[in-house]
Amino acid sequence: MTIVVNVDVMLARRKIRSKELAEAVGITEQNLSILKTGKAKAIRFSTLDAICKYLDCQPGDVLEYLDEERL
Amino acid sequence: MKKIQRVSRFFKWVFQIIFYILPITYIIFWINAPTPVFSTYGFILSFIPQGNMIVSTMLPTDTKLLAFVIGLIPLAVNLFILYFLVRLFRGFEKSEIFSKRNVGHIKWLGYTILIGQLLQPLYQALMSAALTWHNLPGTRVIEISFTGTNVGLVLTALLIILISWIMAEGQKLQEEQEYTV
Repeated sequence: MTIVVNVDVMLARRKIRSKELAEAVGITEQNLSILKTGKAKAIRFSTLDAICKYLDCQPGDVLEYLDEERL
Repeated sequence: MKKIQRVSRFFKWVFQIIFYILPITYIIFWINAPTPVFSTYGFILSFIPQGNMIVSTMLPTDTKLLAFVIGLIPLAVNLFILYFLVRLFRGFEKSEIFSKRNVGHIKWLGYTILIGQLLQPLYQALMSAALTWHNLPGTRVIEISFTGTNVGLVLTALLIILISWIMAEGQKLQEEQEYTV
């Protein structure tokens, strides 16, 4: 089971820098990096809410499920 | 947290000093054996196990050498224990409480104490045989014992191993919290 975080894709689409998103969402750049590199073990709804609000997208645009067995 | 760091630094240094002094004292003891180290100062430190064997006051050099080598078994165990204690308290000093490294140190501390106690009968048998080898017939012995102290230390070791399992769970919880965005 793998949940892939596609924040990078949304940042590129919206032409926003990571630092800008981190400041807007209220998390550190280090935490955003943890999210982008797939090291995060959990994400708070409040954080996901803030990301979607700032990037004007849906949770499904940021999070994707990939079944490793099927790949 | 500052109190933990301060106390940990103190214990780190205590164990580190003992780590360096112990082998030096061990060597000094066997040079003068069987006279205990620092006995002239009223402080008795002996590396000969307590028992019913009769140890000659004038040990031949080959006996001393053999006993020195046999005594390296418990010395190595004690040095490993001190090594893990130094590493553990060094971690606490750096505010690393629930880290994988510290959990490993606690686990291996428990296993080392356990192994040390399981080797105790073998060490005692070898040491008693070595020290009484040159004795007169009828006073040569091989001693093997497993006392209440040994049982206590085995239980302590098992408790430490159990604590390391609990710390491992704590480490997982901390990691999950650390990687929750």
